[in-house]
Amino acid sequence: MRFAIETVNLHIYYGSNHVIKGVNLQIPEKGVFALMGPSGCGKSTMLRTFNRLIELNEEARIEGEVKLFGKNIYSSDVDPIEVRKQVGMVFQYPNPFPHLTIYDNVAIGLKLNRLVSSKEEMDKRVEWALKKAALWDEVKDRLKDYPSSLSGGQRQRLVIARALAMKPKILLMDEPTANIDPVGTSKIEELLFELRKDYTIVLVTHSPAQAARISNYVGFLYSGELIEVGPTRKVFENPEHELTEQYVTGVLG
Amino acid sequence: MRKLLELGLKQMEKLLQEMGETTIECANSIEKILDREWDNIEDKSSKLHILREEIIDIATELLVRYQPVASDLRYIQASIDVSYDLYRISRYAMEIERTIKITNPNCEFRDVKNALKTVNEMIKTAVEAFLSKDELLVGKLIEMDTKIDRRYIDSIKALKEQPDLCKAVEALIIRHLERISDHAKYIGGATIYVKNGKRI
Repeated sequence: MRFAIETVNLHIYYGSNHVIKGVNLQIPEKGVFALMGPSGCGKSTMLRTFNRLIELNEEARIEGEVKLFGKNIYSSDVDPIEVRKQVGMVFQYPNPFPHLTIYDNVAIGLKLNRLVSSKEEMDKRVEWALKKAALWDEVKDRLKDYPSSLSGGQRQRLVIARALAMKPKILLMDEPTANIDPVGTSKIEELLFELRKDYTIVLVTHSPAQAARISNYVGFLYSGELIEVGPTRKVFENPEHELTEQYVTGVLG
Repeated sequence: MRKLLELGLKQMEKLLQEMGETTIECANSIEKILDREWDNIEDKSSKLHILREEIIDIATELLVRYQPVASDLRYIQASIDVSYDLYRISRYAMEIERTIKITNPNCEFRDVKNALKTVNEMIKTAVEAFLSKDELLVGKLIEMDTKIDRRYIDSIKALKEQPDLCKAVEALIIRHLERISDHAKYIGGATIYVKNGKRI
């Protein structure tokens, strides 16, 4: 089986702090893989290794391998910029560019990377991405407005559209609904449910309930160790490990 | 949040305990009925019906409010099943009472009494197994269920050899006891499911 993401004996250190401890993880292609665990367990750190964003932290040191579709992205011949082109990322706080219009927010990556060759093609791609992010109907008549006119949930979907416009193979999402109201959250969850047919989505969440609602597979990380991985139904109905049981039932803080 | 869920689970456990006790009373009543001491099993069964509805209400509320998972979810699912099993046991006890009342046979019921002894023990064991989540008791239940299955077959054979009212009523009662035994065994299965997530 070919995995979208695979880590082999992955260790991450921030200075002398050993944050991720020998994680071997395999994430299948297409679907939502939820990485859950309590605050400070290393979920976001781990996510940042999948697009080499971790390297922006000068103190970070990585050992082991991270493979995307079989290729180790930490090999000396791999350009991190190329890695990030195929791996989109969405953060906790919706971060559209405030000085760009809704249209330009989606188009910016395409322009900078010269991924389209005409205005028509650009229009089509922007519309496609906004539709894919389930935002088109809400913004099609105000593409020249600025993101400040959008709700938190809409802004987050705009950011997702921006990522999708680049046609990535993988989407990394770091608690994408942590700062969104319940209506916005449910729209984003419905969107992920749709997107999982075509993309490999890695969702970091501290909410077991959210992981249970939308993921196909779930991994439980605790103190930098991968405690358990499995199909969502199995992990939430009958976890193998006592720590997972305690975490999902709320006994473990 | 965890504490609120636990309060609900405790409440379900209390209701199941009450259902277990009432079901055991129903089984004891069968013994009396065989000796023509009439008891009102129907009232007990109605009580079990009400208790079962309360369990379903609490289960629904806990699912809606707290989205329980893992062993909590399994316990809730299994409690709903167990409440049904206990209620069904009382219905079969009621059927036995009705059969005796209508046919009013003058029979010794030796085989029925023997089977009833085993079935009563099964009900107590099943309730104890589930409430204390003791999977070791489940093995006992399976053994006893096999014994009752055999008794049922024997009663049919006896009826074939000597087709009279006593044999017919005996076969019918043992048939009901065999169903009760099955429900006790299902409670054992629910115990295993709660304990380790495996359905048997």
